[in-house]
Amino acid sequence: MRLFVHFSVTIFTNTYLVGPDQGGDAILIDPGMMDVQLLKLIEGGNYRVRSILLTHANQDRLHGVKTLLKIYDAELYSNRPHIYDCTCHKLSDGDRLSLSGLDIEAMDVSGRAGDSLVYRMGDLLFTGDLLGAGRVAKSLNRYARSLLVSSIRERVLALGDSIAILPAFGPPTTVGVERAINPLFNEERGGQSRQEGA
Amino acid sequence: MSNAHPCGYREAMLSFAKCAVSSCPEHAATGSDRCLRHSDSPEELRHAASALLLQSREHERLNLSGMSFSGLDLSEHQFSSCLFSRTDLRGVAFRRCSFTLCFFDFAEITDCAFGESKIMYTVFAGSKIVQSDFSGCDLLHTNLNGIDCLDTKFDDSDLYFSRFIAAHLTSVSFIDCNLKKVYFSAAQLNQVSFKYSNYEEAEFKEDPILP
Repeated sequence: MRLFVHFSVTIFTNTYLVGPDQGGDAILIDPGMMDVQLLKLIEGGNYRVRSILLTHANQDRLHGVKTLLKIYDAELYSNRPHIYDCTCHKLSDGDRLSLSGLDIEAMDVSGRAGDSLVYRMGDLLFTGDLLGAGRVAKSLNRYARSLLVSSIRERVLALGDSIAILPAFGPPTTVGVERAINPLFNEERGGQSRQEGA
Repeated sequence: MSNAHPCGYREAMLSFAKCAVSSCPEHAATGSDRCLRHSDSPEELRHAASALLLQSREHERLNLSGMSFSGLDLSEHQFSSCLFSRTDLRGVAFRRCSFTLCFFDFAEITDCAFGESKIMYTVFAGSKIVQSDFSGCDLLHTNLNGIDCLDTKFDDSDLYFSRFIAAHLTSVSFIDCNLKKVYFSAAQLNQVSFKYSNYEEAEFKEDPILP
């Protein structure tokens, strides 16, 4: 398996391309913006985008989808039945897929309105904007924030330390790092009380 | 081996074999089917890893987690998807190296030189970094959250989108750096210099919420 990271300098988000070592059918995660660099990345590696996984159906995640679907015969996967005019494979917590030879598990760890999914592929966890290095997603209110933090603690931080977290925003991290260092989950780092009062 | 990414970032592979001990969640160390802890001969593994590091300038998918290295000169080497988690690095020269998707989490990094390196999508979180040099680096999208950093220079570096959340920085200099979208929230800063840097574009607030 080969993993590529593409950073959009337009909307400041990360897109991930996962595919076989020698090229072939590939998976795109959160193609926020389709640009020449991303096209070169796909074509340069002899990849065909067959699957597009979306962690969250907001505009930052969708800009690239329309363009990509004009170029590639790809299937969309998200927690919604439709995106733009395209039919999506609607996924829920615990759904398992096999795409491009990879086993993928969809997890709803949002703890809020169920409007986000994270995807686990082996030791990789694509978290979208729900969980980044030292940060979590915006919530509507303190209650939603508390649910989100609890859900991440129970579902994500219970995974193995060496699982790599690949977010839509910012640098990568690991489960072990977030458990030990993220101030939201670690009392010694200033923890929950600061976050709740934020 | 990794190839140059058209927009400056690089591709990387990230998959490792599991330790052969069935109950162990760790990855197998390079040169073994077991992790370092379950290896029958950890010292031999370390020697073999040192030899491997010196044998080639391009390294991909090495798992050196938990090993100790001192006095190696690895300048101008390329590292892609390599695990240095919990390593003990002393006096190692990484000048003008490139690192993509490498993990130095919870490492002990003492008297190491990373000057003029290109470090992208890499994790140093939780590390203890002492008397080391990151001057003149492209240190982009790199996770330095929770580092305990002493007497270290990041001068003349581009730190775009990197994070120092909850870090402890003492006698650390960021002179003439690009700090755009760099997060220092919840960090403790003692004798830290941002001279000539655009610290106005860094984030020092304590709200740990993604944009």
